[in-house]
Amino acid sequence: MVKKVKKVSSDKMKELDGFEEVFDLFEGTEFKEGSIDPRSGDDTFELYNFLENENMRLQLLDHLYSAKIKTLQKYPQSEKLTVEQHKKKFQILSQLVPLVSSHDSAFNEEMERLFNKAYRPAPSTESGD
Amino acid sequence: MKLPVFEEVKTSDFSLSILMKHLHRAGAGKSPIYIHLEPTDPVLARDQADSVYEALVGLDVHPQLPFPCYIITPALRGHDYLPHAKAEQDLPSHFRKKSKRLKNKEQSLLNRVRLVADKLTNQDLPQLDAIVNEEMSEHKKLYKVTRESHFYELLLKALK
Repeated sequence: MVKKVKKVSSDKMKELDGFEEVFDLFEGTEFKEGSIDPRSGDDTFELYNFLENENMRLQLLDHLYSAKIKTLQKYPQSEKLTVEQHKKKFQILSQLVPLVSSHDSAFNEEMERLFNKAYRPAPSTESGD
Repeated sequence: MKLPVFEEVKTSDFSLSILMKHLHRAGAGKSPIYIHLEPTDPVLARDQADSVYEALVGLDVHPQLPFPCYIITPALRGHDYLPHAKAEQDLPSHFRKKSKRLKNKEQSLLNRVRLVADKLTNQDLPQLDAIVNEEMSEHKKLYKVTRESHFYELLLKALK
């Protein structure tokens, strides 16, 4: 049977001192001191994940610039919507202004009340002759 | 082919030709880069940031696409065209990776990233930016008018 050699760093090997007999129980695996391949234990896929995210980011940007903005350039909507909203605003104002400006409107009554409260004639101190 | 991770541009000379040389060497437009601006005076820092922008324009590189070119200075609040950070720690962590030898799968993915980045660079980005800015100002106008008419509408409902 071919023995699987597992390389362990020198620090780890020192920690395992005294357990040599236990190693024999692991049939088919031999522990040896040696440098560990920097990429052998790297299974976090950090770079792969980063590159996938980067690919996605660039594809979205490309879609924005090559499709969405060009469609927007061909069929602009904002200006027409602004004109429509202006029309709607003036329509509402044409109903609102007569309501507010009439003599007995709630607005005018409130203004009258505030005016009278603020500019009430000062009580005369002189006693009447 | 290099990984698109942050590269620092180190220079104390902010003359256009030197700056263009340094930016080109750091891979402006091919990988994200950052440059420290030393002056604490906002006017001087702005002048240097403007020089960096001019150098990028000279190299025909967009300051943000496909990869950003950050200026790092606490003296400025921001810049009109360049992305800005107050300290190196504030840079996006997305591009802060250690460069390693790539595996086959990672290499093929990197090739795809390069392809999409080139596709993006080949477009007329300044013209498209102008369209985006125009649309943004139109949206602001639309928002203002819509908000005003909504207010009048509520007023009318309350009065009726």
